[in-house]
Amino acid sequence: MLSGKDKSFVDTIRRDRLHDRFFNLPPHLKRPVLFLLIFLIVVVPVLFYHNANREVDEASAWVAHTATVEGKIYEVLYDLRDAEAASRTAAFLPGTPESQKAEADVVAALAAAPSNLDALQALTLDNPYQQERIGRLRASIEGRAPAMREMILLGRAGQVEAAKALLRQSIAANPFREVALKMVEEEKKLLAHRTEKAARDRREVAFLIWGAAAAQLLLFFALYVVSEKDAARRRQAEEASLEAAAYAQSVVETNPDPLTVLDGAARIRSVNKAFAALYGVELGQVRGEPLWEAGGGAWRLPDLQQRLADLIPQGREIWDLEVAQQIGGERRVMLVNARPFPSASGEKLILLAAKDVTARKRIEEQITLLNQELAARVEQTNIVNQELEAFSYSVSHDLRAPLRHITGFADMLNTHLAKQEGDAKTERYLKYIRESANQMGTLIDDLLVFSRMGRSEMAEEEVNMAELVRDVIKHFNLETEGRRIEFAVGPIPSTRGDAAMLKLVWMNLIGNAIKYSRDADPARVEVGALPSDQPEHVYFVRDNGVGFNMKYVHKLFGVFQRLHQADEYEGTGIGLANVRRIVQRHGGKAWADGQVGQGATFSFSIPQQPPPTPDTPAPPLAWPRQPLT
Amino acid sequence: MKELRTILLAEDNPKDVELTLEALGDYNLANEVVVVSNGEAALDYLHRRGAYADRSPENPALVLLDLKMPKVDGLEVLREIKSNEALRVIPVVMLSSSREERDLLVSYGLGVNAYVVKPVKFHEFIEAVKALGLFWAFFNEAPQPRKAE
Repeated sequence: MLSGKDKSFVDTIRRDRLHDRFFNLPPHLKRPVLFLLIFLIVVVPVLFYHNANREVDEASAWVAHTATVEGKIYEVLYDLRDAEAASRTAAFLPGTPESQKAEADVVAALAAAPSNLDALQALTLDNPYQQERIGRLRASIEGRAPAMREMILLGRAGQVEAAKALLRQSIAANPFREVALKMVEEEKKLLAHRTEKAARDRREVAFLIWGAAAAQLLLFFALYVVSEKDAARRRQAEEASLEAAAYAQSVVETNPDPLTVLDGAARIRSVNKAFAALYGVELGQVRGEPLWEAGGGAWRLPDLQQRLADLIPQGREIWDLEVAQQIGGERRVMLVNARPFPSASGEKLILLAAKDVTARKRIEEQITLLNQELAARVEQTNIVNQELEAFSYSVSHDLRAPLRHITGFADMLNTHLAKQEGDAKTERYLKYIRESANQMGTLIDDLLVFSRMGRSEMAEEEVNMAELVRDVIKHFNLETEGRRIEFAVGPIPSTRGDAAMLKLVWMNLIGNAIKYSRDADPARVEVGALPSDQPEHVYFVRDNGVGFNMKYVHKLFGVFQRLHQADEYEGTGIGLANVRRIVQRHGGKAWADGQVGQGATFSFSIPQQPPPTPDTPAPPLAWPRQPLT
Repeated sequence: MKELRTILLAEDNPKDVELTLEALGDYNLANEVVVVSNGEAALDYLHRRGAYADRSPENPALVLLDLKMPKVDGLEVLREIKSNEALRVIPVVMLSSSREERDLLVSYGLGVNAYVVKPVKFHEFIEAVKALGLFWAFFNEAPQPRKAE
């Protein structure tokens, strides 16, 4: 449903469409349609007027005709009355000069009557009623004429009374006055009718004239509106194009990049402010000059010259051509773009835009340089890493062999001496040698494990941490036999990572908690995770053991760093270093809180969207599952 | 009675040789132990060429290979043994100073029968070698390559 408002909106559109129909006519049809309209406006009323006027003329002619007829009737009537009056005079006053003259008058009047009647008859040929009356009138006159002549004769004979009687008889027998009056009346009626028709025609003509004038006015008004609208449209289009031109001009002028318009021979047509400023030229001076001459020869570039020459004939464009220019004694790198475009007159022109990319180029060069340096450093780091790997490989093989020999031969020496009489000192020294070698072997093994933790590839799998913790606690069951240890295990969320490595973390942390709470009874070990909606899980292991001084917390996670003497608590001091390394490789952090005699809490975090590991591991290989040794 | 076949030990370090021989001898394993000091010699022995051209045609019961040896190392000897139709049935034990993953993976990939990390502790070493010798050289029933006798 359309509301009233919408309807008027639709009407507006319809009207517009009507206009549009005219405006949208092809130009070669517009003019004929316009001429046709003007013809209709001017000629049609004239035709109407002409026609109506003729009708009025006809009506007027009819009025005149009626008057003529009436006049003739009266003429006939008067003739008869004259004849009658004269016949009376002649009959009643016989022998007087008047009667003689009257006799002559009667003859004249009666003689005139037939011709007048003929004329009347001719005038009223179109009216049968009048014709009939004329016939009766003619009969009356013809009846009265002998009576009149007899009256005159009776008058001459002195028989006045007889004449009077004859007159009366004649009048009664041949009434013509009534007939004539009837005719006049008829004619008057016709006249009135015709006058009325003439008046109606005149009114109609007047109406037509006014109507035509109104129609002309209306049409002229419509033409005016249409042409006004046309003009408005043209004005709007002109304004729009002016505005567009001004806009384009302002864009060109305010563009910080130098722009210039060249003709087909690369002569400057115009330059923008940026061009003028950068190349130190003024438009007035350089207009018409070849581009090569402008700006102190900055554009004297044979390659660009060739490309510009090819631009129009081959319909090419120049895209981001990098050129080096000397501008004001300074070397600048410019990106040049150029494309042909047709001017308003159809001439092919070239728009050339330059962009100063010197700074960007410099930065790019710096970036390239930095990248090269970085690549060199990465290369160096890789070399160092390879050397480290070779070193640790060498350590694992070559350092352990002599140790094995020391312990082996010390043992064999011991066996050898035992057969003889060995002294206690020799035995003790051999024992020390073995112990030291063993300890060194352990240290080397720990170091190798630590080194491997940093190098080996990491699995990326779903790890059930709660299960790992259960396994680890079970693992320590044997060691903790005979001790009272309360394990409190809270909810521990799973995470993604390397199960074997994470198990090592729990082994170290829970093992430490058990080890350092040796003297507490009962020992209490809490394992859990902090409730957190953070994008990382925080796990912890808390004990009520000996704790540590926070002063030394920074040493806790170092390789072979120990806060206790070897004879107090066994271990090489590699465990927490491994923990930190593994947690770091999972993208997390490891930290500790504690107090001497108050126990310690070791925590580590594992992000749930781990960042890409710094080293790029090789595709994972299957770990051999065969039992060794 | 099982006939006691030879054990081939390829080891470049004389001290390790002595320790290994001590361990094997300790168990009174009567097998003859042939010791070579590099992989080339080991291959010569296995292929009966060079210095070993005249040896009896029987294959050794067990080959103990040190991983790191001059000239031809243990892995190459292993590859040669396991790709040779006549030699592939001989059990091979790799002896290494370390549990280096790469070596382990390559060895198992080549089809080694056991990979043993030489322990620093002498006793453990002795036990390991004894167990190896006993299992592979005495109990293990290896298929005999068919020979025209």
